[in-house]
Amino acid sequence: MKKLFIIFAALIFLTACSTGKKVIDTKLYQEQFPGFVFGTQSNTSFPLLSGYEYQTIEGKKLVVTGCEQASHIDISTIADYDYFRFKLLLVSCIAVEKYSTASAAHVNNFPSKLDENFIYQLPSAIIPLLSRSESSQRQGLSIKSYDASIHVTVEKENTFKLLTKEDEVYLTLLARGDFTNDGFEDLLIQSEWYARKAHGKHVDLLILSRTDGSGVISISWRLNRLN
Amino acid sequence: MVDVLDTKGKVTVGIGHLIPNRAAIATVTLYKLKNNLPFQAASLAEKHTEYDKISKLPYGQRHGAQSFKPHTSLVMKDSDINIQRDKHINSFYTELTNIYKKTNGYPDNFDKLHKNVQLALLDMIFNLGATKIVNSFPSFNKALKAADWKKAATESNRPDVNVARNQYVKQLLNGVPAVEKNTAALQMP
Repeated sequence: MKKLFIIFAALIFLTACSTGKKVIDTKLYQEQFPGFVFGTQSNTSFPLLSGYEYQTIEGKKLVVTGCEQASHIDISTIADYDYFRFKLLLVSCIAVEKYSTASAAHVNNFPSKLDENFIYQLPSAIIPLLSRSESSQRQGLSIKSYDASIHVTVEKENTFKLLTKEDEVYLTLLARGDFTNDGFEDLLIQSEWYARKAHGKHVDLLILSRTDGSGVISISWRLNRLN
Repeated sequence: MVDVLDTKGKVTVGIGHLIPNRAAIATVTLYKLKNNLPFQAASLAEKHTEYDKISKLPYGQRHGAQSFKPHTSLVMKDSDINIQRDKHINSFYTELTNIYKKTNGYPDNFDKLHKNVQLALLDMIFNLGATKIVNSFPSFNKALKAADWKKAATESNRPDVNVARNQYVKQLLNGVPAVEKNTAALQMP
């Protein structure tokens, strides 16, 4: 009888433990992928594309109907004025592919709704980097501590505009999920840079991680790594 | 070129010339079309109407310059586009002459640098702007100060531009005769 009681108590304990371990589902913000036709929220692989047209350097129209097709196009054949737009599409496709590797998380250290105050805390290296020097200058500094004059505003839901004297940067939350297989929820962010006093523009894709409650937010992966 | 919205919904005309607000369209010379050719200068009211119409169109990564063409009725003449482009280049040129000068440690003043170096710098500043060309590319500038054109070519690489454009700048710098380096080195204090 005593044995049975111990087994019963252990069962109750284990059940309590398993129900206490929450599961945080992955989420893709499909509205950030204009023209992507997804199957369902749970099956986002191989979306169809609608309305994606480009000009080649030879002046021909190029219609892109899928990410697979886009990935096989030689970017050097795209007309200069469509080059950045094509890069944006490639980044969106890579983001969807990346999202397919994410799993449900068990711990969430990021707020459910991002706001301007949260953006100020992000690593300053979140902007698309142009050089190794820029990377080292920003190492270990938050957006706010790197440039106290930076002004963050909400551009639209889950998109933030960061304005400095020289730059305009847009950060967009594309997806949530455990991208690093450590049980913690990560954020998939698209980062775009536009020169305000010149014509440069650049885009990057990053995964932000936070394994310690309200601790430091780190960049655990980025698409464009400088050699 | 007609007026279009960039991927962030900003109105641009000509070669990426930004129209920051409705009032600024007044400074751009636009023409009405007849038989697909510019024939009469548009009035301010017509330019405002055009600006209002374009700025309300959908924009983003799906919307290229061609997609705005059916919605526009005013155009710029090629000659005006060239004037606008030259103004941009002159503005960058002024910035380059302020940065790249002997008193800042460079082999010579911008105007006296080899033509290839001038063209390479112009391409870079057009893309990066004056602050970033100085602050984000210190190794490139160090190589220029040392008149080490080969090293400058390597350090000129920008991840945001296409391969052809990076190659163009590299070839320019790699094409500077070695004698330029020697001459410059002799001139350095």
